[in-house]
Amino acid sequence: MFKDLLKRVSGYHHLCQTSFLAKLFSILVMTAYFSPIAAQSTSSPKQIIGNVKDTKGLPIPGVGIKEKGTQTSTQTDSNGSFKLTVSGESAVLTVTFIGFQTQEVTVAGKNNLDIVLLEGNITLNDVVVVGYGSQRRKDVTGAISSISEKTLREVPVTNAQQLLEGRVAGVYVSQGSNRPGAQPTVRLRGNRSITASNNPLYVIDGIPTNDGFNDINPNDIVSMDVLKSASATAIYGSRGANGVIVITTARGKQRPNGQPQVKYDTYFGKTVINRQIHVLTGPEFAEMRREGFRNITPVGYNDADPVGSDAKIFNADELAALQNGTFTDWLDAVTQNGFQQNHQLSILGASPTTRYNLSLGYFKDESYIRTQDLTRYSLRVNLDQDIGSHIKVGVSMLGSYSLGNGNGLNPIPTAVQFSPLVNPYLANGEVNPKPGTVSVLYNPLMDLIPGTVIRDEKRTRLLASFYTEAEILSGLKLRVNFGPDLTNARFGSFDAMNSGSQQGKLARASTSNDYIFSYTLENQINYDKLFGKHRLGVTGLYSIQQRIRETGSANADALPVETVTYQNLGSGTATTMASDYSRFNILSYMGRINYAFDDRFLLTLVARADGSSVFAPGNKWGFFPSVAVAYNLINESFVKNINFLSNLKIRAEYGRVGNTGINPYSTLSLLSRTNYEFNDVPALGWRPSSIPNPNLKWETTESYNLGLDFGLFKDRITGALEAYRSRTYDLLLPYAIPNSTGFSSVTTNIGSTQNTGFEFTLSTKNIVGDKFQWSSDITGAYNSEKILELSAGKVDDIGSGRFIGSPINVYYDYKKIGIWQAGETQASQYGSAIGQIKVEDLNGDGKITALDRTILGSPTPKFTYGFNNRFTYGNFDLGIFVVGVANKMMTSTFHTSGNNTIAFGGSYNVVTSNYWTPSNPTNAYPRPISGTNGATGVVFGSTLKYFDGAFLRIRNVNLGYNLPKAFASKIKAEGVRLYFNVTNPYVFSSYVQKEKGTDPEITDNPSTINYLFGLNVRF
Amino acid sequence: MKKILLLTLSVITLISSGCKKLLDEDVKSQISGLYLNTPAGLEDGVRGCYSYLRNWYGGQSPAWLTVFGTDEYQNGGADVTFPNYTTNLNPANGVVRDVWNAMYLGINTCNSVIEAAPAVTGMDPALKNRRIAEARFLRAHYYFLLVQQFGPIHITLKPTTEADNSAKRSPIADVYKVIIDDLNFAVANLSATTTDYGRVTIPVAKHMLAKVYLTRAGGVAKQPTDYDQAATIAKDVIATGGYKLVDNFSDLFAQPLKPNSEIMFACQYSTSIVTGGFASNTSCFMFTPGYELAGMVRDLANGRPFGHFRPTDWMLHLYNQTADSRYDKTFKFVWYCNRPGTYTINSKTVNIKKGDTCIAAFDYELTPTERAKKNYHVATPSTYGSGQWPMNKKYMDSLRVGLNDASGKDFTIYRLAETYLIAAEALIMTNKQAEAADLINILRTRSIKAGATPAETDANKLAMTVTAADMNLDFILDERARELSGEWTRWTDLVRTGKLIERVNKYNPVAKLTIKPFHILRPIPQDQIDRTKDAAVNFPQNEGY
Repeated sequence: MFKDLLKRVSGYHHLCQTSFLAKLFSILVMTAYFSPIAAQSTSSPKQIIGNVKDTKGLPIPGVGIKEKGTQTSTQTDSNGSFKLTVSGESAVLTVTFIGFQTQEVTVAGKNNLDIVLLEGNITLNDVVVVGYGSQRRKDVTGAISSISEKTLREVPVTNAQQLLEGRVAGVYVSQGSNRPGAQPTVRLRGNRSITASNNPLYVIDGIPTNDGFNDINPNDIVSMDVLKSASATAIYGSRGANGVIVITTARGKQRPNGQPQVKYDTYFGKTVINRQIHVLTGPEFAEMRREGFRNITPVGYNDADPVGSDAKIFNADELAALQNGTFTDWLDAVTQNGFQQNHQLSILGASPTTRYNLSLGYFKDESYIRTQDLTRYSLRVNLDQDIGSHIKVGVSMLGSYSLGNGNGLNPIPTAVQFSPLVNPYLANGEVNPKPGTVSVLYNPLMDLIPGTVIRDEKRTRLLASFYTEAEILSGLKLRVNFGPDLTNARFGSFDAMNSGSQQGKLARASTSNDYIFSYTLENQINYDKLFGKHRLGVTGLYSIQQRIRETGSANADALPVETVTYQNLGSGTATTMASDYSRFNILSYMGRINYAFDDRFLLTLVARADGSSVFAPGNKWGFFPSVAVAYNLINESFVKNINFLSNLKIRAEYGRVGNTGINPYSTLSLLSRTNYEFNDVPALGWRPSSIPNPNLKWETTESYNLGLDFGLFKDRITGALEAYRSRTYDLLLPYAIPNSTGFSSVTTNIGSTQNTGFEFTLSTKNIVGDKFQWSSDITGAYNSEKILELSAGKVDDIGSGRFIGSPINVYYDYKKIGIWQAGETQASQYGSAIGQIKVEDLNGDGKITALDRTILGSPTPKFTYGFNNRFTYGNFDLGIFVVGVANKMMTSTFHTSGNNTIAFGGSYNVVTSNYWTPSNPTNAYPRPISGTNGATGVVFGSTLKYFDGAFLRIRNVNLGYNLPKAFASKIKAEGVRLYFNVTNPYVFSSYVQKEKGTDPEITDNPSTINYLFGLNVRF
Repeated sequence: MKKILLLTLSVITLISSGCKKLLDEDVKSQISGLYLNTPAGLEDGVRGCYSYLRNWYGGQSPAWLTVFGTDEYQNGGADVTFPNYTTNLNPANGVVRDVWNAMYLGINTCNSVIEAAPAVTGMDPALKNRRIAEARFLRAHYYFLLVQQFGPIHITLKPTTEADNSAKRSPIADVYKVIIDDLNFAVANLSATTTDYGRVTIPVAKHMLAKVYLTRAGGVAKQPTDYDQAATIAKDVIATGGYKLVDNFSDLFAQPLKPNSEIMFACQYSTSIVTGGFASNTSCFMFTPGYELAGMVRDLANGRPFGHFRPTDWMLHLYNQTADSRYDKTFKFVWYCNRPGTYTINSKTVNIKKGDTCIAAFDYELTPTERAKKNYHVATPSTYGSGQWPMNKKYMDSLRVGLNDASGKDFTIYRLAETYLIAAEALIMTNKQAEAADLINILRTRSIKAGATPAETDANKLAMTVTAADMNLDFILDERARELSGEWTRWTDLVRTGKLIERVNKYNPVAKLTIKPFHILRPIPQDQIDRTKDAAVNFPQNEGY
């Protein structure tokens, strides 16, 4: 039974430990606590006393002692002692405490029990990191979702944000790009702020950071807790306005054999392009150009004389290509199969007073775009040391070094536009810099010749968290955290003479450095005490955060010798030089009270005052209180009798959090450089570049949250429901002002937004067999985001594209209702023509004017959901992970004007479209019309880029196999797991299936599938 | 326990008391607006005011707004919106938005300098006034460029210091009042000459003032004395400004274009890659036709072929080609082979050598026999549509570094020749034809072609000489076209004289199909309207858009 429980709650990499833990448990139980032959003769109540200690013999206060199957319970006092009247000799006590393994102890004739609790994270699922402390899940009052290590390890990912997708209700992770090093966008419960960042705060081993989350090796993470509601995030004050993601990395732990655990994890695999951007093929492209010329006056293409007409609109090379049927697939030419590999070696261990985790990581991602790759080396050191029995010091440190090549180099747009009728290569096999006739386009393959274009990024990151914790009195702890975070990035850039940007000019190069130093210094007091049925926790905090950023860059032109690349700028002509400095500080005072009565009534009060340097004097401070209550109904006798219920808790909270949202110096009046010369003598000047606004103040979000946690059928089914409403006031908004002021916008505190939503999380153990298990996680969230008020009150700000009652981001444009068909004489009345786009005359005034624009949709989805299934059969396990969004509009990069219809008079290639011709009277796309030689080009072409953005994606399929123990032990391993993982195997989306798009989240690059093969070994 | 709490609290207090300054902004890299209140800041601010000239002179958007859609040039292969007055010429158009935003950015910079200057101490008062006068000239200049394109516009004479969405369209008369006030101040406070070539001087301000009066006289805000004022001031510039026409018309477009006796005011560019002094001068691209045919490859001398501005037939036949040297000095007809080889050219196989004629553009049709004889590509008016035509060569610049680089050549804004034309136009409008003819003859004299014999030269002189009887508004417009062809002024010249619609109908075979009377003004950018409070009342769109 206990074995089963362990199996269920611990991750697969724990499976190998299961047996030893179970054994350990039995041994302990047998040797220390009871005789296996339990006396069961008496059943009259009996009082017992006892005490609870850890393995070092120190008493543990606050430990829960409960008689199994009854309501009888107590807790240890400050000396670790307890007294309890149990039902009789057969009573079994359940002993639980955060951070320790739960034990069951049989009374069996004893009156005085000495219990030793083993440390361990077996009960991690029951502990929630709440920010500056942790709480038992049942004591939590806020909306917090947690992802266990087991769930985190199900699927290999390249960055930590991907771990959140579809696993936590209310978290929306959008991919954006499938290029190496690309970071996804994470949103918790929608967007709140219009200008300020909507990124959640990441707290890594206690240290909040906003910089470069990409440096974290996802394999080091053992748990992620997502704090969503106001009272949960209030403890982080201003930086928690968009939710907080608390990340804990692995720490060392003691094993019974005293030996450290050694782990090796690896995966490697291929990135395969499964859908290229769907451009016209050679013959289609030729036909589109012909159609474009048929559609001008005087007609430029005579179908009665195709040979003569072709000769007019195609040059000799193009004609030859058409005749021979030799066409170029440009996208194929600039792409390849990508390759990924990852290796990590970890050593975890502990002595009685020291715990450590050392891990080394190597990751390499070679892109499907040639010359692009990312390599990351990482080193983690986590160390905890006890000094005496009351003082602990420790450190979590991450060092990472990454090398990126080719970042920012993107041959795709040019490859899309290049005519398939021209040959990229010269007769001698070399790349032809300027094939074809369109002088603006330069062969994208030139930039891919090694050494031609260099974009080198070297990035070093040192992120650490040092702490000292002293227990001064029982229950009273002082803690000092110091978290320095240092990033040093160096970019080198070089464009050779034959590159696309130079096209024959001497080479140019640049270097730049980015130095960011931030630190967080915190002084913290925690006091936890149990008074009978009253459990009190008090936290006090004083913290300083500082972030300093210094940048410098230098550019040089006309480098005579290319071999120096960017390493000798002085050999060319130095052009621009720049450097910059910025600093911001936040000073905070915070207090929190957690109070629980009888494990039934829970209360959390938080107050926080934040002072920020970015505001002008008088507006620097913001005060952010919150309150939350919860009621553990399951502990009420009238609920307890409902057999199928195993957990029931209701929660309610209210809180305010703030957002600084502006960059340093935004309240000041500042100047920018201007360039001019008098008779070739530089006359650099200054111009006003910002409107001073000393009145800027904190943007404040006020929110309400109602929650329900439940467990059914002995937690076979568990879940949570949340409902919330949050309103953000004093939005820091770039308020678009008429350009006749000399500015286009100014940041002001104006307006308010609202997010209302529901979330549900459901975890079910569908089949719990000995051999076969099936469990599911379902998350779903609905979020409705709207603007309540703007600068002028409840009045739309058309200039900024913001509308009362609509989400913050909307698409505001003309509405395409079809194509003008033959015989529709109104076409010319509307200034259009047969075969061209018909947009709706919304106000019916017989003209198409700016007043006919309307809100077409929003890129922010209303519904997001995830469906995760795990199957285990013997040594095999299978995970299928599905995510989706609905009620979302998207725009497609290459369907945007210039790429969606005949472009540059038919000289550029465009995406495939079902365009109108006299014999194909479609309503989809307009008739190509050559925009040169006096003809009007396609009008309202921008209306062609909007698509339904809903999708259902099979994000991952993961098949694993645990090698039989017998085999594993041959290599002295505790466990060996092999797996095969497919990322993005399929997406259901009308944009993909109907419109031949690449991917509803990635429209400007090919869509890819990753096939990975992985191995985990535990020694 | 109390002791420990006390200790802790005192530690915390200790730390926090040292942190008061933490919340101050640490300004290091930023330059505060207060800098403009210092002598050096005022100098730098005025330099900033000049920089917006580059947003107009040499820029692509203003080129389309001033050269296209006129009698001089038709579309050679650019976006058709402006040359052909299409439905894309609407309030959402990026070209009108670009110039609107840039000019108002310039105006706000001028306003900031003008506002800050009086408080500046430690500066020679005369120098300070001169700098204020420069800023006021430039403010007037930017308003003048805007009012000619958009009609009634928003006037603001104070720097923007807070978020404000109130704006309104002031009557054209009020705009001109602001312009004339500023220019009068400039004339009174500037110096007659400058050691910083490129700065405004008295004659420059006067030239502009004359042009402003001339322009106001042609519109709704006209005052009875406008033409007289224009004539008087322009004549004064000719007489006392210290400039004289250069002998050779070609010198006006030499490269590098250095100060000469005729150019009064030029937007400054340079070839410096350090300051990027050539970044925005795209004038060298605009007129270049597609010459990259067999035997030709793009090079610095021939330029980057945007192929935008194709001269109309009217433009090409406007000159007395025998007597007027400006025809040959304005247009390029022949491209010489720079990529020798054997190609199919003019329907025959030709082995062409470097320096041979490769493309010739004729301003008349060849007979099939004549054409068949040519061993090079031939362009005639009926084939201009395929991209080759005689090219306005004023802005060619072979001193650029990269094939696709813009030009580092100064862009002439005002030159004395135009002063003559302004004076003459004003005189004609007040019926002083004889005086106008005298001025025009001075201007035309320098462009008389020398003949092979003295008799031929005399004949040319005679042909170029005009009389009072020739003097009328159409003649002035023709003469402006001959002298100033392509120099970023044509569209406004035609609007000023009320001749835009008439001349486009007569001389531009493409634009005439679509031009309507309302096209004498451009659409107000939609952004401006969308962001203005009560825009329906305060910022109505121009009629027709």
